[in-house]
Amino acid sequence: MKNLRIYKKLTVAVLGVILSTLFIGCNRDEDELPEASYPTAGDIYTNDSFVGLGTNFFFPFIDGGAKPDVFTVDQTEGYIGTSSIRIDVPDADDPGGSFAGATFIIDGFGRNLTQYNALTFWARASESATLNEFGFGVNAVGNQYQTAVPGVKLTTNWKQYIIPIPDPSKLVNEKGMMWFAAPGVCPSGEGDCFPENPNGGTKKGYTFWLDEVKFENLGTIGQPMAEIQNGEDAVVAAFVGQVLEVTGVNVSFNLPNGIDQALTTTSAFFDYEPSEPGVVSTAGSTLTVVGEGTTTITAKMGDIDATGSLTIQTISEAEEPTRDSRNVLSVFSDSYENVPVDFFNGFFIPDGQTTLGGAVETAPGKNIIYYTDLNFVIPTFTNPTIDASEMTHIHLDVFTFDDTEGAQLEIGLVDLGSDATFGGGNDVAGRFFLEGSGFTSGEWISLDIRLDEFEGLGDKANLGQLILVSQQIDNLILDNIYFYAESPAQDASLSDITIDGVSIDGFASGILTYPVNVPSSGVAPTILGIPSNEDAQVTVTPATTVPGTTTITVTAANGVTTQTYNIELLLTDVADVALSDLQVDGVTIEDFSSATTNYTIDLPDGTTVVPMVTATANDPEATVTITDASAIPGTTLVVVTGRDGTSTNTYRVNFNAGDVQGPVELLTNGDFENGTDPWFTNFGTGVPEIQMGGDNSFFFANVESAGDAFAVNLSQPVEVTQGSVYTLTFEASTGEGTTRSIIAGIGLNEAPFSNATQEVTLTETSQTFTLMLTAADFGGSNSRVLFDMGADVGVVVIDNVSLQGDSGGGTTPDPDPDPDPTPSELAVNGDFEGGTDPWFTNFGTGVPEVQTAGDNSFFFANVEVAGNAFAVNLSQQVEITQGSVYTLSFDASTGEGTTRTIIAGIGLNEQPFTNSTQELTLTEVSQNFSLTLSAAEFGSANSRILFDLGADVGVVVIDNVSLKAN
Amino acid sequence: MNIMMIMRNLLLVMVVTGVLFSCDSAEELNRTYTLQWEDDFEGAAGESPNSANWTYDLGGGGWGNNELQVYTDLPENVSLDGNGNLVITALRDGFNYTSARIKTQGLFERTYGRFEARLKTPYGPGIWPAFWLLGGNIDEVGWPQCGEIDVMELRGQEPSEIAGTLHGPGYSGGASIGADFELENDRFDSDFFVYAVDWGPDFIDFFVNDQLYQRLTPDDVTGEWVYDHDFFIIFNVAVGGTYVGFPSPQTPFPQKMTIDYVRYYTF
Repeated sequence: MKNLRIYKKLTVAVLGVILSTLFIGCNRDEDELPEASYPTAGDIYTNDSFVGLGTNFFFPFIDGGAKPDVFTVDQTEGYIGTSSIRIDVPDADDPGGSFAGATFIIDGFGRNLTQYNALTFWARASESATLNEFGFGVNAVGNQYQTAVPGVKLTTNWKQYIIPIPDPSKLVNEKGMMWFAAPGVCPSGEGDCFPENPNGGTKKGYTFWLDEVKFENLGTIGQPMAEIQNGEDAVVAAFVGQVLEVTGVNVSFNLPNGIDQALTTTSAFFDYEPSEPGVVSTAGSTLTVVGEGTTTITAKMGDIDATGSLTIQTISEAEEPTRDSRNVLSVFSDSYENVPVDFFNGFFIPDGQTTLGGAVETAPGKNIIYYTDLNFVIPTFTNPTIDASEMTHIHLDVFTFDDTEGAQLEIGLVDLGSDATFGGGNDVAGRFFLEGSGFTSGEWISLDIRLDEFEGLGDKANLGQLILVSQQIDNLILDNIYFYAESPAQDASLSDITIDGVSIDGFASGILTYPVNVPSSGVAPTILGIPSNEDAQVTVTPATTVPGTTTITVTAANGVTTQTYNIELLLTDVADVALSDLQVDGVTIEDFSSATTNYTIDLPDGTTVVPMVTATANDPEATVTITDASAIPGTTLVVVTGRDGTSTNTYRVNFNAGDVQGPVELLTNGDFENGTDPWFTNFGTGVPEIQMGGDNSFFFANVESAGDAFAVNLSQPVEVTQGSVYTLTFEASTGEGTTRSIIAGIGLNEAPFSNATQEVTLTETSQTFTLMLTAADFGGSNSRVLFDMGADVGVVVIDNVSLQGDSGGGTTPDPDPDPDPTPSELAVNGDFEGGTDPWFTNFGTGVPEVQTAGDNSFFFANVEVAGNAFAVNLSQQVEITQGSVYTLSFDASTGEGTTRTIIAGIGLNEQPFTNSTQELTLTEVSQNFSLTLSAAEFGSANSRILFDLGADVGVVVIDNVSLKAN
Repeated sequence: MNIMMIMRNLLLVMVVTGVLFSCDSAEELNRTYTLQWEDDFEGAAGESPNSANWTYDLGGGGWGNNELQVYTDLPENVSLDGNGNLVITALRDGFNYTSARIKTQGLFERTYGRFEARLKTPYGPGIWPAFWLLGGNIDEVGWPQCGEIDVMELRGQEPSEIAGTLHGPGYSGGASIGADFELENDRFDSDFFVYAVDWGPDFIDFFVNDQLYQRLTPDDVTGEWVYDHDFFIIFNVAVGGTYVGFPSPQTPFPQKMTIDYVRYYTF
């Protein structure tokens, strides 16, 4: 324990250094400080000795549980010379400490390391082992530049390791020469011991040696990469006075072996630059908001521009509440005493919650709630529950700088019933919906919602949760959440607003702004407000023009309290090209929706007369042109031209007579009007995947981080017949101002998930995609239509999905008549009568590779120069099951009077191209070859039949290829 | 049938460090160079290289070496950068790789002289950039009878080392003749370097930044000296294959070879 004592004593001494360093740091002018005053030596342990580290330089991480007495100089082991630094890593259950970890701090002046770009060392271990970290910059005075390579793998042979310095110009006075953290080795395999496996065994100690440890300047390190905010362009709202930190610092360099090495390092290596002066002051990565405005912080690591940025938008504080605290039960406000709250964010990640953030202190005594990545969040207050029986309203101040057009915020209250606990059959939730139209981006919205307007909420004596569910708004700031009681005399609210006698859509007493579309006449409609308390006084000030705003001011019965509602009158969309009705022979088409533009009407058998189609546009001044189908089957077109004269929209009514051999629709609920079934997804967001826009439903997903395409999937089971051709059509779009790709197609709904898909690019405008898909190498009743969306970020909207099979007939699968079937043929078009597909070659000759003589087609190649066999290859993709035995048979011959060899067999169609093949000799007489091939060492869906022809010159003719499993 | 089997594994490697030949600068060879042809890749960003000089090899299939990439002529794989450079970009999309291979075949072919390019290499395991010359009679006599002069090729996992190599009849692929050149404490992807061969009737000299590191003569090759007819120029970035090995998950993409200029001189 000698080291422990020394360490503690030195901690005190080091603390003294911290203070003096800080003091100097606050006053010195860097330019005046002569850098040369610090030693510039790079060597740490070279030529059998420590160089300039002084006397007391070894500091084990005792506070972290490291064993102190692990370090010696080993005089019997060295990479260069005869000695090295020896570290004896303890067993994890060693009473002296569970791991080896320490830093080497110079006992004396710090060093100026600006002329070096890496810490290098040679190391070996008594057995293969992994250091958790190895690096420099742990100096007990702030560890400002603490840097390490994580996961350093040691072998039993001496090997050199390199720790690049992110920006050497920062290291003008560094004392932390090197540090490491080394747990034992897990005997049963990496990751199988405690703590990685909580029930696993105990890590065992081992020994490692370090030699030739020094800082160097290596030209063989290249390709520096630096990121802040994990490379993203982050945006945050902040208040003047708030202190923020740049995070998400990532640095990597390419090492001399060509591999990128990521470092764990600190934001102190970066210099930060705000785009606008006067908004923030920077002290390293710490940003203090000093003025109003918007500024974007970018960073440099030396000369390297870091990717990623942090944009700070300042916002004002919400208006301070003025209600008498005696009438208030506050959940979250700096103005009132708050009730106990269990949490503002429960992080229900398994339930699909993505929301991050919660309550934040932005300055002493100043608090807000700041949610990011919001989908839903449930602030909870059950200890105790809130008795709001006497309360009439809930107040919330909400703010976002996100686009609120089309957004919706659902606010819910949950009453836990008389038992005041979850469950018990008496929990009741009430909901209130705030549409984006009542929620201006970039402004605090002050909501006063009557509790009796929470749809479904009854008793309110045991409120336990506030639920926030957001569509579209990712970033939400809240303040001043409180319940309050208002006497009727103070009530300045309306209970309804009517426009020309009809209640306004989405009215709620606490929503003060309503946008209203006015038809083209431009005449302001008659608007009335009905007060909640009939003794209140209502004054309506009509708009003088359209567009314009009609205001309704309510003065409460007490004559003091007032509230103003604004009705914003907007002109009808001049580009409205939707139909409000579409009729066939005077009857509205079943399932008509203005957003659905394609309808199919099945007429009785033998119908020849085209029915009459009539249509009504949403906008009476739009023009509707109807072009009747010329015959049955056929399509009547309805074209709507907006009043702007340029916007158009086409609706199609397709007429079929009963017996028509038309393509058969294989999907159900392809338009999502009936909700989710029978669609299925492999993800759950908490947000409904089927959304409504007007009276149209559609599939909606928002992929927030990219990964495997199949990780975010929408599918519907459908039977697919192998060899058939299918037509998949659908409409799809993505978010405003963005594009993204998705994969669409058909495939197996079980392993090996063979499929036929295409990648399509979505835009903000909905496009109709029509894909022709061949189920060449799969089929079965457990197949599906699939949309893989995980490879790209952004919104995916899908609607009106249709899958139609071959109209050629015979697509109905026959029940298998043979209970003991002969092995099925795996090769497709093995006789080449169908041309080239699905065969492929790796050469192009200009000569057709499939030739026809009489009524027989065959594969033909003429190799003119010999080389590698695989350089001239004919292949067909098939699935091969590892461990199975196959029979490959085919006919083959070569040119007149010659012989030549080829290689034939099966193998992987991807790296490492493992295969099972045989070499055969062809003659001018066609021979039938039958090869028995074992797939002992390989197998996958991406395998192939292969013929390698390149090793020999001459003609190769191949025909009647067959592959069957034995 | 054109079977392109190009640039095999290099077995006959003599490692030459720059120091040995450092006194042999081009000036001391007493050659006077006259510029006859060049492309300095001036043009707007995104433009394809001048079609009067360049044509493309397209497609996949391994190119005789189990390479993984599919070559395209798309601007995302090969285009000018607007700063006077041509950039060949290898892209990864899942397990699919695209890249480009451009050549002067049929457009600019010469016998003897100095072929020189200034370029910055890509990097990373499995990345294989090359600047090389191929005999213009390949369609008549095939490879390796046509001859191949690899002015430079680099394995991305060895960013400090290039190879200069000859492939001909009896000494192709794994039996090719050449040498590696390794930088002292520097990397070929950190900056532009000038790569060149001086090719005369009975010698081919290989240079990096005017430093002669290898001379090959008819006595050095183990077969016919076939360097007596027109050759054309090729630039490409391959991914994977037998020479370089497959890319690893740590290989960063995209990877770019940036070519400042290519020049041909007589001397």
